[in-house]
Amino acid sequence: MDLLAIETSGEIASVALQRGDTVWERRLQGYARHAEHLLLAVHAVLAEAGLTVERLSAIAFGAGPGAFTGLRLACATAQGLAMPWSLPLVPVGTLEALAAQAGEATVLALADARMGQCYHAWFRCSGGRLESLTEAGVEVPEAVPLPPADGPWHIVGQGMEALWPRLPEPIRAGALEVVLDATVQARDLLRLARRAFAEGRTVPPWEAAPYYVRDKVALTAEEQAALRQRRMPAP
Amino acid sequence: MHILGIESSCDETGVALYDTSRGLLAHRLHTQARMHATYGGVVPELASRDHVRRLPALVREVMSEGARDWTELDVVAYTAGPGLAGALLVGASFAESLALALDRPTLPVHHLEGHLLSPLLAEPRPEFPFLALLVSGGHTQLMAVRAVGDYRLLGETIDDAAGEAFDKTAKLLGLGYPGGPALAALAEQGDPARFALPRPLLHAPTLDFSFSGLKTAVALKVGAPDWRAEYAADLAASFQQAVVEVLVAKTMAAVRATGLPRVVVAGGVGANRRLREALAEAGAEQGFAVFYPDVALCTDNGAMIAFAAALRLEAGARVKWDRRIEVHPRWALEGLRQG
Repeated sequence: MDLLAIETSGEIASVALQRGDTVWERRLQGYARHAEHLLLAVHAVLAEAGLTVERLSAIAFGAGPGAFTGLRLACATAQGLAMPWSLPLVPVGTLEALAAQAGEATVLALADARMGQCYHAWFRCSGGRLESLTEAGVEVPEAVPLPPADGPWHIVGQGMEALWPRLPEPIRAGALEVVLDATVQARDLLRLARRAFAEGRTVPPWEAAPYYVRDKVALTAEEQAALRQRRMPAP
Repeated sequence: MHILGIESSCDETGVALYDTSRGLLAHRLHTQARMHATYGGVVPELASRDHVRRLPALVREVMSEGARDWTELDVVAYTAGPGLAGALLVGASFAESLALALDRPTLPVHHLEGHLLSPLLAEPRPEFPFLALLVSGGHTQLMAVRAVGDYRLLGETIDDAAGEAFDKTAKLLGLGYPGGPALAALAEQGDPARFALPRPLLHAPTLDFSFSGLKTAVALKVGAPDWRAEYAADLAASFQQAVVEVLVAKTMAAVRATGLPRVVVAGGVGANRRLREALAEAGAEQGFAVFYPDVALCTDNGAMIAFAAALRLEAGARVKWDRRIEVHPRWALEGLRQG
């Protein structure tokens, strides 16, 4: 199968194309240049592999969580490429991709969410399969849930160096291996996406969407009014 | 030639398929107004989130209704600005990627060019040159249009757009958001002479507009101790009358200054009944004809983007093959030339 993967959720964007056992990839550094150079990179890996979009089996994209604009860039790009040729899309979660780097273990995947918070989810990886133990959440590090299974466990985090000391002590104490500066590359999406494709876990472009996790991004008019009321001094 | 048009610059997702020999084949629009109403205004992040959810389904419907195969598409046109950066980026990424997949070029379109050329999609079709009055929630401008790509800015708002003033005033009167159309409906039952409101810049020797002081005047009336809810219709009518008088007076001044015999009105406020009546009277008096887009194309939409691209291509514009996804959240229409 011929699989294209697009990952633009973080600072280093990348695309990867797998054909048989060969992988072609391109990396793009720095937020500002993702959009400008992304399709040139897609074009380059396709040309190197001697493929056109229409001959791909599926397109995987880094669905998130991560930088909102980056998530939409990957999703909209995958949608646009897939539409005319009815290609299936494979959304791959950032936290899943991080957890998959740990090998066979119970894993806590973490990613910096800005605003002093982090994204988190627990997984168990056994026999090459990744099983989700908790739903992904976004919270201050102190509120990251304790492991749902007995230890020890691995921790794989992205941009988590500064937030690490704020994680609950039992989580830190029970960790066998800790990586705080992991990154997710398009190449990392390929393995998870291949399995998802084989198991039929794909979506058509019109059902594909980023996985933001942080869903509360604005106050409703009612909440704004309540906030104003609270701020008003008592009569 | 078949052109797909994609619009995602603010809170409407629009897609259309235009055939240069047969006209508009299909168009679809999804408005996010109801979603943003909960927040009392457009939330840019939520707008972007909705665009990426809606766009592929709308494109699919348009291609199916237009009964064209993907390989029959010749150019993918999209709004590249001005507008909300994140929202624009969704349309641009999708459009550029679609074009790459089909090995076709793209044509980035200026949102306001789409609006000001949209009356040319209607019947009767105005001839060049004409004066364009762009009045929407985001823009209030008078432009001299000599040909496709030849636009000269004569005047614009120095603060709020006319549509924005309608929406903000509606909010003050408790009509929700976006309340512009509700305000106009309420104004129908009111007495436009009841409240004396300012006509900002009416007699200034400029074609610029200003509407924020008018909104403040309304806020003072509503906040006054003798304010009563039953005055709302009269205040709405007085407000609308003030806006319409200013828009019409500046339009008449622009016609006098340029000698242009035709006025084209585009943008959401162009659907306002009182404005249309007043412009018709002014046109009869001063000897200019007034043209509007179809009501369905007054708001943001994909049809105007596909159509503007068609006119630009006809005028010799070069298509884009570089595959770069670039948007221009701030982009002056004036100085836009055939490239």
